[in-house]
Amino acid sequence: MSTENSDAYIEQAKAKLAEGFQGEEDIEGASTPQKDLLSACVIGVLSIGAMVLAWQMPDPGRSVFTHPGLLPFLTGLTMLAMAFGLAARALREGGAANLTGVFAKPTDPDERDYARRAWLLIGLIVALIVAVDFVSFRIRIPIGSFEFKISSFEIVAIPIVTVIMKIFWRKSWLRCLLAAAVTAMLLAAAFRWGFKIPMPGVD
Amino acid sequence: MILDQLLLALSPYLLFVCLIGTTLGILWGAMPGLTTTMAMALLIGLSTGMDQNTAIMFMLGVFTGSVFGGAISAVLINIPGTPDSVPTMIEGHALARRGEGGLVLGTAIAASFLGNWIGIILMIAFIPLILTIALSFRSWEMFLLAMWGIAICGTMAAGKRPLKGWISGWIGLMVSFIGLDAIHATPRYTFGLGFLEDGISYIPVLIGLFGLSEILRVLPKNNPTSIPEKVGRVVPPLRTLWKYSRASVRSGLIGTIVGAIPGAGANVAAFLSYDIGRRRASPEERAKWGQGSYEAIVCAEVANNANIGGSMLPTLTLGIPGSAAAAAFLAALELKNVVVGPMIQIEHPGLIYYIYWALIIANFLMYGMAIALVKPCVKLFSLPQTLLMPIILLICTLGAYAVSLSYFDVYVMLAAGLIGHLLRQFGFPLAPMVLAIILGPVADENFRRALLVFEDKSVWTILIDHPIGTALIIVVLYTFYDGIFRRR
Repeated sequence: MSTENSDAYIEQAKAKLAEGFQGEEDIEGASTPQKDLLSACVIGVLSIGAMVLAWQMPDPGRSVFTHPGLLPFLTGLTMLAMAFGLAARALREGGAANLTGVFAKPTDPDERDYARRAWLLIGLIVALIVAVDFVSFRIRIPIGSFEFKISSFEIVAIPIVTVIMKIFWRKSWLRCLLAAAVTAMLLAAAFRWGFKIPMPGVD
Repeated sequence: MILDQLLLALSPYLLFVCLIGTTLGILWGAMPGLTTTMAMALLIGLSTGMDQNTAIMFMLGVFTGSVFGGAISAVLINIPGTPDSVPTMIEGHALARRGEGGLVLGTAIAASFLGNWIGIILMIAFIPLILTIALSFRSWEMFLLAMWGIAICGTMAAGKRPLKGWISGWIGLMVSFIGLDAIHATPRYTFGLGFLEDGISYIPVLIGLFGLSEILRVLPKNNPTSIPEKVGRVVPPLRTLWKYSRASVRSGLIGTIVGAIPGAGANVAAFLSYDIGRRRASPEERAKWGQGSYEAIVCAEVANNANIGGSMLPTLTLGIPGSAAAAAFLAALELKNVVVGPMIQIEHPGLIYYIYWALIIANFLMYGMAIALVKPCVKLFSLPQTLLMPIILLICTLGAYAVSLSYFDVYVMLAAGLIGHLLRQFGFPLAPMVLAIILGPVADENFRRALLVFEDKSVWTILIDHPIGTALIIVVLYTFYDGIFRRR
């Protein structure tokens, strides 16, 4: 980090400290009235759905007090009230103006780049997890009394993690492949032989 | 029994495991972007292959090490390894630039060691008292306590927007209702899908929310590589601590109390202690705050480490995690069929003493390893997050799967990670959701039981006959009032 960036970072941190109680998780910067209004609407709909489903739950007991939908219904009801509260605050802060701006492409090139990279990463992660579940693969090579195994986990993880590393780490394909292969094999070995946990899929 | 547990904890194998855990924790905490909660969440999966004592020793070693580890990168490369190291970064980096990096890190190590001691001593002192009170809790009180835990966690996690913290908690409650209900085995929110009848395990949710969503937050960023300041000789200056003994004790108390409040973890402890410390400092010392003050470093580091002992108080006595990291510890215990709470001393005699000793041993090892590891850590900073995060992705996948050898849990982890990422983008905290998923079943079962008991009683009779419950109602209502009206 350059000295200039470093100073800016320190000043930012000092300004945050000066603002007082921030809470355990740093969420203040992520929020806008538009986002709050939108999330209030979604939460409101979810709450109503949860209440309807809770109301429809069968009651095998003799009393309303043991109804399985009692607390889910009350939770939905109070969450609906919270959604109203959040919406009211968002509207007071001007959330209704430019509401569709939440879905608009960011104008800042850095933010646009971040969003693009985030979507790409999500796609690769989903691909990794789904592929490990569906690919069926197994190699077993007996070496004396020891049996060397490679399962679908390593076969799927190595190429996908190589691609992730290539995109984000930005080193040569060979270095990314090596790093991904070593990591996947070591982790698989640690789980399989160290912790006695079989790999997902065929092991 | 106390001595038996000490002898057990001092066995060479467990000492070695604790050393590994502490070392891993320090290195993990020192790496920017890798938080204590993330470490603890990922370790749940690894701990499935360990026996109970080994898992406890390992996780507490990592917990203790990683809270301190954040200070190393905060001082040397001006990036807080963990969020609670921000005050240490502000003060420590200014001093490191003047060539006092070694002394600053020494102060941070000594302050962390002292902070841990204060937290542990207060924990040991108060656990019997809380357990005595907790044993008189019935269904009504347990329900109210669970609801207060979720509410206060929402307030503490969200800062100025408690409503968002509570909503996050309430979403967690909804998730906890999925599956067969505990009293009648009626399916709730399962939509006819058989695999939902067992409910959603909170461990993959925890890994998704604090592991995967963190990867999604950090990896797409273009983070510059940092050049560390020169370290110099690392000497923990006990004389400096003596000079700031009042600030140390005050910060230790703040850290422990904050730790005992669900949802308020090391971040709130460090920031609060730093802020109070500045107000209480002498005028000449106050002038140094923000420009490089040793007293400020002592305040922040003592508090965030004392927080560990504090967070164990409600976790062990009431089963309500004091922080997200403590929730991960609770999850690891549950995997070993250890249900903590008011009955811990009866159901698991001796366990609580073992945890005391594990924390004490981890603290001593942290002190030694911290001094030894500062210089190797400098080399670690050359490892970019863009290389580490894909590795962590694989650990998340295997960790979620290892919990019950079910690939459904990996999908739960994926969904939790994506939802967590979305919620963060919209400014919702994640810790209240995890806490609510843990406490939801407790709240539900106890609420319905209590209502059955109260069926023929008037409201006044209930309020008078259950003074602890009445006090808890007032506390819950005050938490909502405080969040709605005072934090506007």
